[in-house]
Amino acid sequence: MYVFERKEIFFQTLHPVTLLLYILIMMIGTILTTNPFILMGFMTAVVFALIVAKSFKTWIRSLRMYGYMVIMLMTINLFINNMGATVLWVGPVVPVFGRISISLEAIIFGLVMGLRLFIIYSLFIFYNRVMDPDKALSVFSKVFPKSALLVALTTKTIPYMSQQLQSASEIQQCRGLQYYTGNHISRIKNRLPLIKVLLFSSLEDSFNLGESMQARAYGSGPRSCYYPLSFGGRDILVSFSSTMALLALVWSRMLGWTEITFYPKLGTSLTSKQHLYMIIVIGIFMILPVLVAWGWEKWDYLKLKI
Amino acid sequence: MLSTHWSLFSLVIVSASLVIIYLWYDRKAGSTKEIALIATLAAFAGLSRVPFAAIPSLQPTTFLVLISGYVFGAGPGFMVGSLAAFVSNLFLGHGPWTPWQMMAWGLVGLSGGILGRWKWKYANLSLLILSFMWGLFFGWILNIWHWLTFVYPLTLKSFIAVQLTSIWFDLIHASGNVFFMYFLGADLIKILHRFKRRLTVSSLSVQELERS
Amino acid sequence: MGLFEIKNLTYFYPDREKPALDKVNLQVEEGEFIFLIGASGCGKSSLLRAMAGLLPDYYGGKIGGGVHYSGSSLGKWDKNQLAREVGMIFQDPEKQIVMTGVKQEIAFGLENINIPYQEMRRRIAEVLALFGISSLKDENTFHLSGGQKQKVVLASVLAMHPKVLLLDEPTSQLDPLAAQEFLNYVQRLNMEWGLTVILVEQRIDRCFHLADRIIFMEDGKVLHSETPRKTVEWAAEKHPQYIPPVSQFFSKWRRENIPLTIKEGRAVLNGMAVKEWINPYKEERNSIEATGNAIEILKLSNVYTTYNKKDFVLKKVNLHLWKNSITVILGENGAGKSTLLKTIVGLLKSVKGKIEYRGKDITHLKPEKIAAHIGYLSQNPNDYLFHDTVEEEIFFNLKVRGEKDDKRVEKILDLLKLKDKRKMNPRDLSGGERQRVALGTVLVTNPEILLLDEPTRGLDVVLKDELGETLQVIKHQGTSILMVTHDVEFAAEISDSVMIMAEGEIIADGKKREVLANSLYYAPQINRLFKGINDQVLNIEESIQVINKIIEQAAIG
Ligand SMILES: Nc1ncnc2c1ncn2[C@@H]1O[C@H](COP(=O)(O)OP(=O)(O)OP(=O)(O)O)[C@@H](O)[C@H]1O
Ligand SMILES: Nc1ncnc2c1ncn2[C@@H]1O[C@H](COP(=O)(O)OP(=O)(O)OP(=O)(O)O)[C@@H](O)[C@H]1O
Ligand SMILES: [Mg+2]
Ligand SMILES: [Mg+2]
Repeated sequence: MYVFERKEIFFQTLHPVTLLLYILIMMIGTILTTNPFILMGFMTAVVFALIVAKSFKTWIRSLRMYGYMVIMLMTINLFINNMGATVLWVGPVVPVFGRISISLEAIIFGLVMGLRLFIIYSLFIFYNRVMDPDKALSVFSKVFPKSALLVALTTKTIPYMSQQLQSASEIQQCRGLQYYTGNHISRIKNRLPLIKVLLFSSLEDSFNLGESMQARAYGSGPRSCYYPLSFGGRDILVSFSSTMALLALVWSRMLGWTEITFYPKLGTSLTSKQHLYMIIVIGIFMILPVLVAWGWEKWDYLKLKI
Repeated sequence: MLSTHWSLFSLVIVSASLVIIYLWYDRKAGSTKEIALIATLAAFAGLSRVPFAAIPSLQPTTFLVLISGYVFGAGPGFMVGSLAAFVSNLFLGHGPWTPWQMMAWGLVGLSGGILGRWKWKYANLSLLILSFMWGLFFGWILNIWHWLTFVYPLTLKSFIAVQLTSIWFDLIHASGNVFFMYFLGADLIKILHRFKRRLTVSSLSVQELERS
Repeated sequence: MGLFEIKNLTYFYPDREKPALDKVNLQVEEGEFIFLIGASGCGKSSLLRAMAGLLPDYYGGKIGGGVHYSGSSLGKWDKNQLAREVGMIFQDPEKQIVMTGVKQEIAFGLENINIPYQEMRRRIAEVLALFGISSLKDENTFHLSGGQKQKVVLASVLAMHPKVLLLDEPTSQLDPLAAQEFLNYVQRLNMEWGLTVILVEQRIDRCFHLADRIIFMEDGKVLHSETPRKTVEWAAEKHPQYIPPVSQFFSKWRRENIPLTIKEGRAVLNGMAVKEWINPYKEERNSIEATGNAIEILKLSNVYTTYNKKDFVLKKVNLHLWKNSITVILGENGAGKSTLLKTIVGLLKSVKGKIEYRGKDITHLKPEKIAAHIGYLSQNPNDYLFHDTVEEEIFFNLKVRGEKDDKRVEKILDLLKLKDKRKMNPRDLSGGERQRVALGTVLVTNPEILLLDEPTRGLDVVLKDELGETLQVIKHQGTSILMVTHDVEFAAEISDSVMIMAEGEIIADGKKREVLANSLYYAPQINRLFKGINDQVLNIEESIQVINKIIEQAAIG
């Protein structure tokens, strides 16, 4: 479940805008790119970032759910595309689709699409881990007071609700209701009223929350912020490398280096030496913040300096 | 060459229109209580998708968004729908399809609001019909993105093929909506109305004061 | 011209026939300290909400008449501007925490009124220190105990330095020391900084003498509004429970100049004290202290519990509960009292140690199995409200046990004075009424053991007395009761034995007189009044007995 935990993590100490920049650029980069090498670079960056942010376990756990969706997508692609030149297998004729055939290109296409999806999933796990919702609300409500509140409240309601569901079902058990024992049907029947209760009590709570916010003068005019929101050295560092990576990406894109041809025949993903260098440059800039974060964990000296 | 152009372009269009709607909302939106209400409904509708994730397209979200719009109006309905998409994807995976879902569910809420305003006696029936229709439309809107991003070439034939591939899912979605609407609709609409009542204040006149 | 002018304020909650506020007329001067009392459900919270400008907005319904603040009608005030001047603390702390971090929660209000960063840090440090919760500043607000939550909520409003403070039962979950400190602080703010205070509290002994004016409400109307001294004389006849125990005691003897505080009371007592009458009551002790047959019904040995797998919240807890007895657990906020109850009912698993019920090991039983023998009331009554009406809510506990006896529900509704609320949605009730519904759901099944976590929260004095009597009755019918409370008067009234917890350990355990009498924190007011005269007296009845003895002896002698 998505409950934000405050921890001693480098990324959590960053300015929310910096974080957003870093994550957003990787995201845009992933959407812009079909070149597997660049995607691998992103993948490495994200996975290391997840490890440094101590959420590797969460990630692995989520993989099962996401993995299933990735596989679904890849399968659909296999069947819809019969554009590939290198046909590996010819299947039966199916109404609507015509003859099913599987080509090498379609497989590669599927794999690359899967990789892209995967990176995006992982980025969001990372986002949830490092973006402090309180801090984000503080910062963004300066710009868009109402929408920021809306989004923040929405995400805040989630842990609230799971909390509530838990205490409600605990108390129901103490009243003698069987949630985890009894046969299948009675278990489901015992849980059904929870939907109604949950809707009711979340709405009730939201009114209380709104009341409490208004009683504490939310939205009464200019607002200050509890975080020292100056850009620190670490913010500059991370923003700089994100921006550089973006520039390199845009440039590569203009040269056509971020994409490869799939159909009818697989194109090359590495056209020249410069292309290779560029990929390395992008990779370095994406991974640099992770390296800094890692060093920050390891050496107290770095902790003091940036 | 590849679909990333179209994918990105369409994404930008959809995102931009969402941003515009949110900006508009930011300027006009009502009090904290309204915001709190929308936020909660959205979180609720979004979360309700999670336990059903194992069965694709069977989820109560569409239904919840629809009745939210129906009770609270088109504007709040849109916000609830689009935020619900955002929220649920925190769990089910965000991706470039998020804006499409936000738009589609936003429209679901909007249509609910229109239906709610246009009062007539077959409200229950029309809610059932609308929820069925949205099961299909929703899939079609999302497929546009699918088609643009993951499919090559972009031809009418492939478009129809994509739409057809999802027909089973869409039918499941549609009948799920009808199921939820039939069994839970009345109860939940009652609850929502109760909170709507809490938003409306009337003042007592002097005579009424005297009488009480 | 007063700071607040309330004229003919009448208010109906949506779909209610009876007004929650009925033509209230009231004037509050700047710098006044008002203590608002009245039975549960009489409209105290509603009045405070109306004064904070929140009433029709968040509740709907019909409103008539008006509230003027600082010369202009609340309707004309920008609500948010108003919030900068009028700070309000609601009845349930659980329902008003906005942020996930403690520091952030306190900062939230400050951010809203645009306090610069440096200043904000100072204020946060100040209020954290004031409430003694500096060590919690990095905690998640979900992981706090009930009292700690209340402290955070109080801190977050006080940090904003409002001009007017509206307090709705602010100390309902604080331990006696913290409550006293908070009230002292509010008094100081009132005296030294001119803060206007309107306070609702059920713990009358703590607040009565602090106020400039006492307002007594009944059924949505203001019945009486006078200085404490005059109120005591007025209430001594009609509503004797609504005055402090000291005054209650003296009002039995005199009609005028009734003492309000212990200091005044002792002056009177000393005036009439003859040295010999000091301990006539000591021989009597055993007869009052009769605790009966010793069937052990629940036993905890060396129980350890943890939330985060690092620190133990309960450490080496040993506890015995005897049949036909009431045991009360007292202790500071965050000591682990609620955790102890949750461990017994199986919501938390003890990592070490053993829990036995009638000699049977129940340490690893599921909560719903344990529920067959043990009834449990949690600290937050809102967790109990699921159904559409009050009676369904109470009947539910019978239904899951396959029973159909409606008479029991009837009896409980009668007992808890909920008859006229039976068809209402339990969530539409006042704080005290909700507490009673939750209590009803537990009482209706007649369990063998009752665990109650702060059952008197939100109950007015009359209801509290009645609850006490009820508990005595079911005790004699064979139920053992283990109760957590911060209300020492209530504990002194009904308990047989008392335990004190601190930092997860039980540090005192004994007969109530051994533990409570002369305790620095936990001595009831009457005990303090009689200190040096008769140290064993705990409540008014006993004190009257003592005095009667003296008079008797004097007659003989
Ligand atoms: N949200 C609500 N909707 C409908 N009725 C309500 C609501 N809140 C309170 N009431 C009713 O209004 C009356 C006054 O409630 P209020 O909360 O002001 O009482 P109170 O004096 O604060 O009581 P307590 O001491 O128990 O908190 C009660 O009879 C209660 O049932
Ligand atoms: N869910 C939780 N997760 C982590 N820590 C918790 C949790 N609940 C309580 N605690 C911590 O355990 C300690 C004991 O809490 P508990 O609720 O038992 O206190 P309590 O004695 O009932 O206090 P109060 O009088 O304030 O209700 C507190 O320090 C609290 O912060
Ligand atoms: Mg109240
Ligand atoms: Mg507690």
